[in-house]
Amino acid sequence: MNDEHQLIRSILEGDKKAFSELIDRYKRLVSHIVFKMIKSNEDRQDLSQDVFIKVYQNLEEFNEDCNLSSWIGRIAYNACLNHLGKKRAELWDDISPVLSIDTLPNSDRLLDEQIATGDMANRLRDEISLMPAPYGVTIALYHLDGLTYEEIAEVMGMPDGTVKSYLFRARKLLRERIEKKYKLEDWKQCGT
Amino acid sequence: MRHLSEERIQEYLDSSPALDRLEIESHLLICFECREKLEQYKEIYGSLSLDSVPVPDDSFNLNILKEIERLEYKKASRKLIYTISSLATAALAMILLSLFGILNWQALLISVKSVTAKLLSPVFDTASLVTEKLNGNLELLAFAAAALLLFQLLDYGLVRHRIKRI
Repeated sequence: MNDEHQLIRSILEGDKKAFSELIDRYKRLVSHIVFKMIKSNEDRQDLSQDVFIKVYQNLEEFNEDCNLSSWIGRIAYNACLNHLGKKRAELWDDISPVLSIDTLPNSDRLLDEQIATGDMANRLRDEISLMPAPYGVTIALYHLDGLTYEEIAEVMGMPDGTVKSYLFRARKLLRERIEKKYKLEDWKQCGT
Repeated sequence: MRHLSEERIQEYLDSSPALDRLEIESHLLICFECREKLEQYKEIYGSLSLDSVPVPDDSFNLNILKEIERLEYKKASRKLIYTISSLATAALAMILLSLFGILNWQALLISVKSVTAKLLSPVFDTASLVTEKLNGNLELLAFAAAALLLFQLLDYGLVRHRIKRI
């Protein structure tokens, strides 16, 4: 029995500290999903809290052969979709194979401001915020949480190939948008 | 010269096992354009791993634990209220049936006992003894209701105790 299974057992036996530890382990992952999917700060806080309450209430049903991070991620992602309700359809409308650099909202104002700050990470963060939310989620889960294609697919309930395609298209868009505005030398200056 | 596709450059940086790295590296040595794209992607990859969102502090954990305790307490209270009201309704119905002479407890006990005597004889022996001692329908009902209520209160107490431990 590994450490994670022991943690789950302790929680099911009513150990308060164990559940707090689980929150500490996974609140970063949940925040990444919720922040990429939901725009309102207040809603983000409430939704993140609701996710962990759902985790607690359903932990008994968790299959220990599965990956806990994928399971929690899935709860977070579904909670966001439910929260968006009718608006969730708009998320997918934006994702089509023909999505190109010209279909994204223009962020020149943001980019100009960032020349002054010289921060590539901030520049990319703002570019991602202009993309359809699922792109942001796949990027965050892959690059920040270190999830594999398979794990991201489990979280988002889609085939591995689709996840790979989202990631590829999102990073391509980012490169094109940044290239449109800057030359490589400028990138390096901003990145350092 | 055929350039590398952007997908292959990304796969190279993702360390995709299906990729022929030697072939890619050979091309990169002689192609400035692809090398430039690779550098751009390296910058993007590096910056993406720095992107972060504000992670909630310890008060976030406390709020969740408090909310869970509140929900569990609410659930237990609702269960208790439901049980009490069910018992009260059942008791009232039995009292009314007894008062109108529709239900005869002694006869009911005897007929049930004859069917399940072999399986539950010790239980019904005790029940008969209690009935004889109390010598009245209402007393028996009150006794049964009190016993069930006591059981439910004990159950409720255990649930509360569990909540406190969470």
